[in-house]
Amino acid sequence: MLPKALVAASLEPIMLSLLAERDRYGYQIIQRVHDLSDGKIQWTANKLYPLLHNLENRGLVTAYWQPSEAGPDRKYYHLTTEGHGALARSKQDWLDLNAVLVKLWGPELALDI
Amino acid sequence: MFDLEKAIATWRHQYQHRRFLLREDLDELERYLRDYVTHRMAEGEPPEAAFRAALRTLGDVGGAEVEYRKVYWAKLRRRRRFLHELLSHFDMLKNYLTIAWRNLAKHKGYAFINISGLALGMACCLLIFMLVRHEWSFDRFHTEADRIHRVLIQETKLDGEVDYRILMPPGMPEELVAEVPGVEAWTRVVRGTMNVLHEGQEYGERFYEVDSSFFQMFTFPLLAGDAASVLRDPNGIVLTESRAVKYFGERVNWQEILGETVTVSRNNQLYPFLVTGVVPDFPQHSSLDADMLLSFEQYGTLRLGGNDWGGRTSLYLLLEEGRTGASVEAVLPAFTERYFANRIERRRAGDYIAEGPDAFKLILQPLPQIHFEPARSLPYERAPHDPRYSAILAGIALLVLLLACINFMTLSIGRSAGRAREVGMRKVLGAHRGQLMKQFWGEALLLSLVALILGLILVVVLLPTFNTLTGEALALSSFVDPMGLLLLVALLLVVGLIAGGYPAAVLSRFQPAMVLKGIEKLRGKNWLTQGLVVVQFTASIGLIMCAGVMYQQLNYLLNKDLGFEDEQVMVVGVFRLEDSEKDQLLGVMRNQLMTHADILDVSRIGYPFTQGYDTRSWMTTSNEPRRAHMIGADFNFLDLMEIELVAGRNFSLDLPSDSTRSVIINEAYAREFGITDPLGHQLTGFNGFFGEVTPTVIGVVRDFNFRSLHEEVAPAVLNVHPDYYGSTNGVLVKVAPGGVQASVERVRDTWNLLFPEKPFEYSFLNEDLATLYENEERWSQIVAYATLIALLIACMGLFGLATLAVARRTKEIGIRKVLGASTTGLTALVAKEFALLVGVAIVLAWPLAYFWSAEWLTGFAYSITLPWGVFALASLAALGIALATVSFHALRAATANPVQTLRYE
Repeated sequence: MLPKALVAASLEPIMLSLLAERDRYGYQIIQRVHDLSDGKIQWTANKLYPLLHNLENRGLVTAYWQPSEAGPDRKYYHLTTEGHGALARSKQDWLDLNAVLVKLWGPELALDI
Repeated sequence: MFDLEKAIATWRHQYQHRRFLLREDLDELERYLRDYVTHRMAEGEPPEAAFRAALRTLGDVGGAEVEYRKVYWAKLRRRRRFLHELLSHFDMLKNYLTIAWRNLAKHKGYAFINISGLALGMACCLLIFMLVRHEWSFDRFHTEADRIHRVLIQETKLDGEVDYRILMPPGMPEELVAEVPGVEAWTRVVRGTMNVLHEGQEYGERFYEVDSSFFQMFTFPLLAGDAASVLRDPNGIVLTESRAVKYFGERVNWQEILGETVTVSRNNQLYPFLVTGVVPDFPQHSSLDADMLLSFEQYGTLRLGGNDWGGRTSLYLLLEEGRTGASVEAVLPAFTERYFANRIERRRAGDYIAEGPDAFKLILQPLPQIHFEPARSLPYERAPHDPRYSAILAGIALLVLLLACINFMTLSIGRSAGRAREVGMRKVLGAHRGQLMKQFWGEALLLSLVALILGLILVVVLLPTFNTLTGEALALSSFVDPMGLLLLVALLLVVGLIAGGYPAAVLSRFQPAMVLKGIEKLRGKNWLTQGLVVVQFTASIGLIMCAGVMYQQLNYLLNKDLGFEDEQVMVVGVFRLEDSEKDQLLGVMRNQLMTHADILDVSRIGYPFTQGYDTRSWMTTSNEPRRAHMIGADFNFLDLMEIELVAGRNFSLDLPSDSTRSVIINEAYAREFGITDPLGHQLTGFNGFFGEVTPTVIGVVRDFNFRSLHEEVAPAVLNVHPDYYGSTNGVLVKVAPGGVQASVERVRDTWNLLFPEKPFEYSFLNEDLATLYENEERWSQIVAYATLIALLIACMGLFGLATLAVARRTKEIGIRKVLGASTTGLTALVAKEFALLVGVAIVLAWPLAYFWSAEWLTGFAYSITLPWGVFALASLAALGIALATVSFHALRAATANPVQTLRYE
């Protein structure tokens, strides 16, 4: 399990990146993060959903309901043009951070972004 | 036993109870829970364990509440901010409106000038728009308008001039359609006037004889009757609604009158027709217009075309879908050459048309085009329209609107000093330039809106006069459709934005620090304002000059010595009579009518001057063919018309050879055919009715203007040949002054006695000639009105500017007065400034008016020399009006008590 602060900081860029791949609904996002991090990042639904709403408020994502074959409708999230812009900026921030770590630790130990 | 649905319901209830979640968000969480549980169960976990694991990943209710509240609060804040902004906008709007209203109320004169000027300008624009729109909508209401064409004959004359004939042989269409592919339907249209007998009284009505396809080709929806069959019965008649009302009274259902009888009286015979249909009156913007329609089968019986071999018949074709006029025209020459072979040969032998296959051909004229081609129109149609006319009218309207906009700009800038403090204050309180511009623009728009409403009222008031001026019957209803409303909005926006644009830019530019300290005032010399005033006056003075020139030229045309006496000459149309009847009429007139004292003389004339002409080709002395007018005269023709003989003698009844061997020419003929010694000269070239004889010139008359003064006097040959008498189309009756009414009655009685079934048609030569200049008269009137309005607007602007100038110099005038300046001196001081501007405008207006007038006068063969007096008078008048306008204020300021003026501000 990664430290809480680190998870919180990376929450937004990861979420934007996942939505940049394709439109997703909440459960899919949590599962995908779980798989990508081999279970090291555990997002809880009561953190994830408010964050998605926050992004929606800021105009970075839009949401729409879509019927599913089984059970009630699902709410999908879609990255807007502004969202793509925010992702690009965030990416640059993390790369800058990465560059500092590379200089300190040497390339082989740096974050692989 | 664990029940998943029940567990989820309990969970949902717990969340609902806390009331922090929106229903939609709770739905989303529930869906997550279900997805998670389904996933775990699919991996083999029992439902209860899966559900508990799901709850763990969801986190506790308290944590969720904290996170969601954060999001909701942000959302709420955003919504509030928006609401707040909206409210503050609304507050500002209210404030702007209040300020605008106070400004208007405080400066009523200024507001009046601005609004009334704009209203006048807009009213002009709206009127012209209605007219132009009416013209452009002609004949376009037919569903198949684009596919309907009229067939014309196009003849190219020897000199390359092109002439159009619309009338066709009535039997032609069947053959044409059989030979030429691409025609879906066709109808012939014959026009004429006949009398309808109703309760012992006869009424003249305009009739069409058409083919049964008429109502299927054209979009004139019937009120009663069936479009396909309504004129299939040769005895059927279709009435327009107004005529149906006239003869059968108002009905709710027009079906009731189907089968009723309408009796047409023609050539002393009665023809009963059965009503088979009723159609609404033909719309104003239709070039086709009649009162009643009959079947074309009546052509030979009623002789509506004047005879039974063809005349007054025009042909309309409905082309098949996808066919163009050009594609059908392309296959017409083969048909034309065969069908018109005789006619072409005859025309060519008579030197009427040039050589080559294109000299005589059939062409197609698209229906919507008919209204715009006066050269190809029929006199029986609604008057066609020269499109240049709309363009010039629109130009004048825009000019007037521009003048009004200029008023708006100059006055706003002029008044800017008064509002500088407001601008400064607003800026200090945090307004930025954009907001101020919006404010001033908004004010301009508001003023424009008021002006537009007043403009519409003006339109209502002016419409009857405008209709008289243009000869149309326009109605305000043309604005009650999307296009009209769009124009109103466009007018509002364009005027508001253009007129308000510059003042907004200037006013919002003030630096608050400077303004509030009272340093920044609008500089005394405002070049733009002065430039705009010059533009206004240049336009107004130019218009006065042009109007003066037009008026003088028109006067000249109407009063010019034409070389003959056109007063008291009655023209009786005899083209409907047979040759023998003409002789009969002349005999009776000469023997019986001339015994009355008020009928002085009677003479034949080939073509009464304005009603047609005839030209023939003769040889010049250098043996080249040239055309000259052939004028059918009479032995007393020269005496009756008071045409001066400059050489030789008149035709004489005592010399029998005169009628067949002698001609009289005019000076133009002698000049242009190179004849130096005309008397005894033999005219060669044309033989026609002269046969083997080469006619000899026995006299030369002074040039007289037998055509419009737009043209030079053309060479003319006068003859009294008996074989040419077939072309006698009029009888001239010289009437004694004061005996006009009695003479007309006498001639009418004689006519009715001889030819009771033929309509008696007469006119007066001077009135006929005046109609040649109707266009000029209408134009000079329109320009006169425009000049008046333009001058009024310009003066209102000047009045406003003078008010401001005097207000700005109130203190200065007071001080000067205290120091001993005279009233005259002070008035001159203020007036000088404006006199200079008007002076510049005069200098600019002269060349403009000169070039336009010179250009316009080239359209007349006989014109006035440019009346510099009119120019000078116009300049003086403008200067006088401008000075009078300004001096009103100057004088008031100069005579005011200096004690008061010095306390000002």
